[in-house]
Amino acid sequence: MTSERLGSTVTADAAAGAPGAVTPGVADDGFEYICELDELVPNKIRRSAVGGREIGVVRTVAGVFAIGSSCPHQGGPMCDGAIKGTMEPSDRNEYVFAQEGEVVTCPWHGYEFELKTGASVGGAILGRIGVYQVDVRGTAVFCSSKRIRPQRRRAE
Amino acid sequence: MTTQLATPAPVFGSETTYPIVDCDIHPMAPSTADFYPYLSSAWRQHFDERGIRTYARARDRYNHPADTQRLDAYPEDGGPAGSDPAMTIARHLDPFGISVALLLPQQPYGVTSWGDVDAASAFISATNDFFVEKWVGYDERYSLAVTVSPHDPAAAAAEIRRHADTPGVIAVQLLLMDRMLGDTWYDPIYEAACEAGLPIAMHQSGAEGCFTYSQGPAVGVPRSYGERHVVLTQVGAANVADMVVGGAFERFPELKVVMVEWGFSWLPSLSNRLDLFWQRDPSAALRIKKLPSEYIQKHFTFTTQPLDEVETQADRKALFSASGLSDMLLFSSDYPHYDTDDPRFVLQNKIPEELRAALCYQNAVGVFGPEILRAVA
Ligand code: FES
Repeated sequence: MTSERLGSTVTADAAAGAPGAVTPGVADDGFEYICELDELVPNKIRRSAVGGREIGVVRTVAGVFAIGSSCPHQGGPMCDGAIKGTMEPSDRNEYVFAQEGEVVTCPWHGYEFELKTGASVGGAILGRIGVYQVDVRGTAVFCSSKRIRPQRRRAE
Repeated sequence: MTTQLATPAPVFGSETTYPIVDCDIHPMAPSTADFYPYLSSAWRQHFDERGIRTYARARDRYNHPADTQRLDAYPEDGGPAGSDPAMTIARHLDPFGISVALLLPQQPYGVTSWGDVDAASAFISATNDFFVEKWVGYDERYSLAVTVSPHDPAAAAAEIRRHADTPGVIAVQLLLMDRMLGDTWYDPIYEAACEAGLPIAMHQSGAEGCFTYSQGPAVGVPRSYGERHVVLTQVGAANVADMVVGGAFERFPELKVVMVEWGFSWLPSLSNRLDLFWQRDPSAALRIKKLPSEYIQKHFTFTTQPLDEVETQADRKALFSASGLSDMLLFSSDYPHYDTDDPRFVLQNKIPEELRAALCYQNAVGVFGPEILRAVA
């Protein structure tokens, strides 16, 4: 009973704690129970152990996301990072703020990463943070320990 | 209190371990009120009425896009990043097996914007006493650079002499205002430092380019924090040249200077150009008697952070290959600042293996003396 997928907006039902609570533990499909949705404080990354590794789960205005805990730059602790948007490339003197709640910045040098894909915003560095599938099932948040691999561009 | 040294983590990625001297760690007092017990009642009254500016950079001119501190360095129960000595140990010293942390307090940096000479001296003395008691007294790995300002060189010299025998004081943090470091204005300060056997540590205060009497990067006003950050190294480079050509080391042959966070990849070019200048026109620099590069080699050391982020092996090799550089570099992390160099990452991946012992502690022992390793059994 998947009610939403990574990166989608949290549904009103789920946010309100609709019936259908799921028993904590590991679901048949390997997703692990993290916590109840309303336990996720908006924009505060919750450290969780999933499949033996540390994963940060966060709820933002853009959805619920799960990220790896280590920054690809120098290994900064991403669970201490800040949730933001970013300034998009734009014309001179036109500042366009976008992607609110879709970006996490590393707590050390401040590199920005996309919560959906793990890619560095604007390609500032080659490395990416790990991102994992999150499912909100009823009122409960589940996360998979399998990393979402970046989609390869198809050869033209 | 003496804390048991943690078993060094595998920072080096091999069996070999060395003591690590981290030459740039910033401690903070939780608030300016914490300095009050170290001030006379008259000065407390003065600061109560007028306030204390502890921040040097004009924040509204060079606002940082995020935070100048590491977000994971803020104590959970509040206070500024780096204000809890136990947390700095737990998050930084223990995990990386750091044996000596050179503390460079930041709250005194604000006085570089003060006009009141006596207030500056009084406040700086109070901060020194605070960090001696609350940090150096807390753990033997903490070693302090006592701060002095150039407002009043006689007062600064007296402050150095006051701490000449304070255990754990291993350097003098000299703040920079309008006068360049080769100016004879600083002679009383250099004299006291030599007498006390303490090197001068020079760290940017943030005031650079912000006030009429602060030194700014060459030529103009940078547009943003980032642009200013990149060109700040010019201030360090210019002062190295000024000290050499101004004859500071002829007047004080024992003087040692640690340039903290000014970069070093510009140094080979600067040395080379200074030598060329001297060879072509020695009479333009009457205060010096030998090649500028010889003074630099003998009197200066440079900390590594923020290390230039070179990508290829060839570039990395080039970064460290200049002659004499291996004796002049000191490892530093700049904890808890946002542009920190992670010790494990830098020591494993960036600093060539053959230089690690020199950069981790041998060069530091050369500058600060073997007694800095007081926490190492
Ligand atoms: S470690 Fe994350 S940005 Fe540097």
